[in-house]
Amino acid sequence: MEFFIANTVSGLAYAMLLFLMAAGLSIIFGLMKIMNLAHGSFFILAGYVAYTFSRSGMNFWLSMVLAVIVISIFALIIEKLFISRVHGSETDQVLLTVGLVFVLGDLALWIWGGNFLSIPVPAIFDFSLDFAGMTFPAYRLFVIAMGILFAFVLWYFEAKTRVGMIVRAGVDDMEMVSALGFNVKIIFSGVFIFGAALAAFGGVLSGPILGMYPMMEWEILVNSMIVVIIGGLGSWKGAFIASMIVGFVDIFGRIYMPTFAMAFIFILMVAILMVKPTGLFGRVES
Amino acid sequence: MIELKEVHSYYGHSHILHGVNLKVNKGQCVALLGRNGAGKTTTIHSIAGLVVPKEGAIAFKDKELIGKTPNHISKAGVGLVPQGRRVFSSLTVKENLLIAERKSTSSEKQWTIEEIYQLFPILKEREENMGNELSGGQQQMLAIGRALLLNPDFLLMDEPSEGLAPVIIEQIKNIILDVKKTGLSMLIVEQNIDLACCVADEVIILNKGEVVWQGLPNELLHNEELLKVHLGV
Ligand SMILES: Nc1ncnc2c1ncn2[C@@H]1O[C@H](COP(=O)(O)OP(=O)(O)O)[C@@H](O)[C@H]1O
Ligand SMILES: [Mg+2]
Repeated sequence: MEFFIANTVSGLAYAMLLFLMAAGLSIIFGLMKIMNLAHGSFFILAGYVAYTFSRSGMNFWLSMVLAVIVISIFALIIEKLFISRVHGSETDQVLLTVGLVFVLGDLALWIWGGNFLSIPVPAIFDFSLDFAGMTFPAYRLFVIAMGILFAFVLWYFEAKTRVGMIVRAGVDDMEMVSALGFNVKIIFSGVFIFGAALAAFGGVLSGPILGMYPMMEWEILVNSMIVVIIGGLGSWKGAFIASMIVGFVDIFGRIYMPTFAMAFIFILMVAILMVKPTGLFGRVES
Repeated sequence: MIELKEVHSYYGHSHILHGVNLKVNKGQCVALLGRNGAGKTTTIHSIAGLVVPKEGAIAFKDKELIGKTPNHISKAGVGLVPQGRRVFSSLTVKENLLIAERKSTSSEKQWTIEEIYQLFPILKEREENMGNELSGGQQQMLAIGRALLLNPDFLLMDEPSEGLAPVIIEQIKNIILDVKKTGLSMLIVEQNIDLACCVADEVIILNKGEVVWQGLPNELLHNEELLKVHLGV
């Protein structure tokens, strides 16, 4: 039981990191109809950038804020220079974003090398909570709290703000939104940057837990794409539920059957898609 | 108000509009008729910027619209009630109106959400329903309300009676007549010739991307040849 609870905390923390990745991926897909395969690169690059800032003596929180800003600006440039040119062509989108993953991966290898790096746990969370004879690393609990907080922020943003309303309308019918006088380019750039910032935030949060290493962007991308597919394309609420499912299956799969952890996740995805082809919360396209 | 001169529009390589000319004066209501596939929606979309014409000119209040993006054209004062209504299904009725509401510096009448609710009381009742929970007629009312809240100087309506029951069509017709009284200039695409001839000051018939006839509603209603050849009645 204790073993189970301790791993539940790990599973949930991992789930929240996946959620921060998947939420952006899902919103960007829902609105822009672009599957941004370079989204995992934003996640890991943010970790590396924050690592460099923290190595230079900055505290964790400042490094985090700066890394998120750097990645957001970087994402804006990527969107303006490349993504905006491939609307409507899925093949171009895949080729472009996969190309970006390789280029950014090599760039990271060149700058930060091939070793496993990790960001030190911020001082105020560098302790464990003892409860009912079990120990919980405080930082993981913090990550879980952040995931839940951001789910709430996303809900508020989507349901209660004018910008959220425009984004929802855009997911329904972007052309009509533009015919009502809204600038599609600005909405697209804004949503892309917002999604990248969420991934960057997740990447920095993940620094003390998962660390950064070459090819990690693929792992996080594949898992978060599975989350998006299980949750339903375009639905960040679905992503929230699905990230917990995938987080748990991943953590417990690794413990009980390490060689099959990945296979479990795929089997789960296939099973869910057989029952509900649009994913748990996917919209049915008319 | 608006004048199209020799407008040519394409979808990919297929040439759809072969030099359309038409004009709507201030306060005038013009009906655009023609068989399915004649290019009526393409004409509407060319004005709204959803299709970019390759040649020709569209002058709106002395400004050229071709090459402008849909949001600029909307802001310049063109409102659109699209074919198929296209209300936002994941927005409530109220949000569908709120998203469009804006002040205009030039239009004479300034619509408010309350006035739209007076025009369509059913929308007020269903204010908290999602867009896709409405009947076809209610969605059409919502689409009209949404376009009016843009407070446009010129309104495009694409087949507002499509797929609606006769009672509802009658209602929509009266609404269009009410809106016309506010002095709003309109271009209405219709398959329903009675509705079109009732609301329009002038009728234009389009065939294969070209204007083939232009005249008064009464002239059309008494020209059986025309009705048969171009409108199939
Ligand atoms: N998105 C599109 N892509 C290619 N062809 C189209 C598209 N939309 C319409 N068309 C073609 O353009 C022609 C005119 O269509 P449209 O303007 O919708 O006609 P109408 O509104 O008069 O029924 C038709 O032959 C139609 O098949
Ligand atoms: Mg049409």
